[in-house]
Amino acid sequence: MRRQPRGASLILVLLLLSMLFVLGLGLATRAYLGVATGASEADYAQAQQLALAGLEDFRVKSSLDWEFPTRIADGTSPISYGEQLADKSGRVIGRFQVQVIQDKAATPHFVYQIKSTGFSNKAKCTLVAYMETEPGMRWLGIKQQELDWF
Amino acid sequence: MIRTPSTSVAKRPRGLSLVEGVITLFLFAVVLSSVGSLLTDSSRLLRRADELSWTNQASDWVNRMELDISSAYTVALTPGASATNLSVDVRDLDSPDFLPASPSGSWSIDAPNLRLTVVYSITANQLSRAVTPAVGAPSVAVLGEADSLQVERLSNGNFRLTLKKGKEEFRREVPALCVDSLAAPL
Repeated sequence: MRRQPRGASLILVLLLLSMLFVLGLGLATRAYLGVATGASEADYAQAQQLALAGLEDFRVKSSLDWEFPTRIADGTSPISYGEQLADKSGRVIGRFQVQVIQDKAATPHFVYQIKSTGFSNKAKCTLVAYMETEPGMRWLGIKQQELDWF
Repeated sequence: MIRTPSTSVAKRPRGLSLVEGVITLFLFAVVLSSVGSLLTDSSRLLRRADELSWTNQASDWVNRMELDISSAYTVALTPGASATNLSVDVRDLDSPDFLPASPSGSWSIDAPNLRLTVVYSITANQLSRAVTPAVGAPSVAVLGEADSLQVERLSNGNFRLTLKKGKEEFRREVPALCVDSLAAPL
């Protein structure tokens, strides 16, 4: 009686290929995660720099223009503006959005509250800063409010 | 008994022929050496990735230091000096005395009770951030592993921060927004 071939070699080869596939997939996933983490850290750092740029932008604008920021009668409605920033080659690196809250801009505090949010790729960083309206328009302090993906 | 060709059963040779065996061995050697080379490369890559992972953490810590430096109204270092720790004074922006709704006549934004002293230093290869309020006990948070911290105050007033761990190094130059705004009011 003729014996049927059992196909053990085929099973062994399939098993070997499966192991190699799982090994390759694991290595690729880890490498991908490493790259993604590095990229997100760079985005976070850039978002914070953009938010800081927004704060200094506000300080310079308000020092050069007496009408800036626009006075609001009740002092409760914030004003908001934003800018897109590019590098020397013209490539857009991100943008910042500045929100100015003026409810403590008059006596007795004389302080602007400024929220500046930097957007870089998929990361965003919101900083809250306090600036004396006068004299000298000095910064009183800056803190991080939010650091997240959007 | 007469055996005819139609009734005879040709016995299939067991195992592989010489040529098949050589080809199989060759293919097996190729696959094995490829896997070996892949594993060697990947272990080197993963070791490098681990080192870079520390760099990512260091970037995160320096982001935090940068915010404290930006927020500082006094700093311990004078331009041209350097130190192995970073010490700055910031206002406690979360204090109810910072911007009270109805401040008393003696209220001031520069009141000493609003001062927080923030110090970054390395002890036993651990980078820590200690916050000491004007009144009360200090709080210390350990950020992570680092061998050294170098803080330089440049002649333009900026800070250069250098963190090192083993062969890895992370360096960044940061401006001090609050101090700059005090030094050069607009």
